[in-house]
Amino acid sequence: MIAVWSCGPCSLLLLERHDRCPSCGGDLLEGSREGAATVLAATELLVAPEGWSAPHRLVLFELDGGGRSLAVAEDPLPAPGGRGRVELGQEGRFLWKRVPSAPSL
Amino acid sequence: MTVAIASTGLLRFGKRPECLEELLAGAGREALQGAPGGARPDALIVANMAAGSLAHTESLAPRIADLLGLSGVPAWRVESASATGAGGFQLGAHLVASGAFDRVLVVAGEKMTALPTAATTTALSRSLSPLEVRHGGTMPSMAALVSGLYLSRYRLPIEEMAEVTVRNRASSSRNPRAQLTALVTREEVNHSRMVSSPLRLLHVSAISDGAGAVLLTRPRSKDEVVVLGMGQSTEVLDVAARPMEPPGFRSTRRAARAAYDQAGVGRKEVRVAEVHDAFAPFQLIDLEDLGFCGPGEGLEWTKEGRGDPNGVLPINPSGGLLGRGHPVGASGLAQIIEIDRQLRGSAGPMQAGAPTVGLAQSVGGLGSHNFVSILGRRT
Ligand SMILES: [Zn+2]
Repeated sequence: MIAVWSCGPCSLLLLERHDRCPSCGGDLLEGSREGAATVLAATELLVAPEGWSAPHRLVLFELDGGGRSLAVAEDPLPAPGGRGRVELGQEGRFLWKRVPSAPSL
Repeated sequence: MTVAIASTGLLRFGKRPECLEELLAGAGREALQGAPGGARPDALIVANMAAGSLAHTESLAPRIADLLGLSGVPAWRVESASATGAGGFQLGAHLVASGAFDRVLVVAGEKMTALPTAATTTALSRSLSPLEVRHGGTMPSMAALVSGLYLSRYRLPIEEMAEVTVRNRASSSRNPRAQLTALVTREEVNHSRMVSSPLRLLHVSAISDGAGAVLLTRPRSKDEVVVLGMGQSTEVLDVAARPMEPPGFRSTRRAARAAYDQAGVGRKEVRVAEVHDAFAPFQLIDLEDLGFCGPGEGLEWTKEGRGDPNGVLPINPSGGLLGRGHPVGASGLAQIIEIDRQLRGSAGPMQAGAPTVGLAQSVGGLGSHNFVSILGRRT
């Protein structure tokens, strides 16, 4: 399960805990999602930042039921529209797990 | 608004031998030498994004005051990520408009080429959200995701983004202060090395050293370039958490609305613009966010030549960040200086008609704080 926080007043959805809504200051309500998600965008960075190895793959995903964030993906890079699962890995990082028939670039 | 641009200074961008302090002071001296009557500023703003990481120096405000012979004058350092120069400019204009000071010198610059590229990329990524940095996000990879959202939404092929680079490089070939002055072809753009898919090297602005300066005063004569309107907006740091429709930067749209309202001009009165093309697709996003064309129409608008130097609304006649180079602290102020020179008719080979209203738009930290400034020449 993936925890999500939603803002009552402005309906902003976050996948990371905040004390207040960063957009309107409203109270946030904690909920959860199953983890099934769709790729909205993906990139393969060929010059890795310090502490990472290249190529470094990132997915911008949207959870079924709502909520968007980033996940680290493995080869091959999934394509927009691709389906998969998001898991929470170490150090608060989301990991993208593709489902077998999902399209890739 | 009751603020005029008295004089400007702008160094050539590129890999330069000077240290950061020398760059900032060099641009400042150029602006002061051009000041009418040699007017001494009564306040100083030093705009710089990441001196600590990139140039291993801090406390820039008194250092630059020293170098300019202005020690004793109140001075501040301003940081607004990749829009830092615009942030310094707007704060300086607010200081004059408020009546607190009569003559504010704004200098903006960055020294980026002293470090290896990976270290520079890491330093720039500190302007992203903690969540993005934790996932290994960098400026190019987050820009690639933003670009990917835009391209998917309007079903545009990445190959078409070469239209932006080819045009801006044609403009920078006429700019004596640009880092990149060689023309490039569509094929060269589309076969350049991949940086972060789908963005290739020639879709990405260059790491650069450079500085600019503007002396702001109260208007004195009729025939001056004045600040008509300014806007800035912050935005939720996490790119993924922001609204996705329309794609682009809500912070630009909010800043533009504020600037248009304050200036009392509409988008159709703007006759020249410098926009933040740090990544080629961003230029199309900017055109749409500023209301120059409708959502998804940026590419067609560009291909029709409407933003060319002889078009209805010349966009980035200086070559933009893609051609001029992108010393992150300097770019936002360089845009203002280019617009000032366009309005004065002193842009030389870059002159795009005889505009009387111009706009500069700057994206900070992947849209977390964007700026729009509108300048006008009273005729
Ligand atoms: Zn809210």
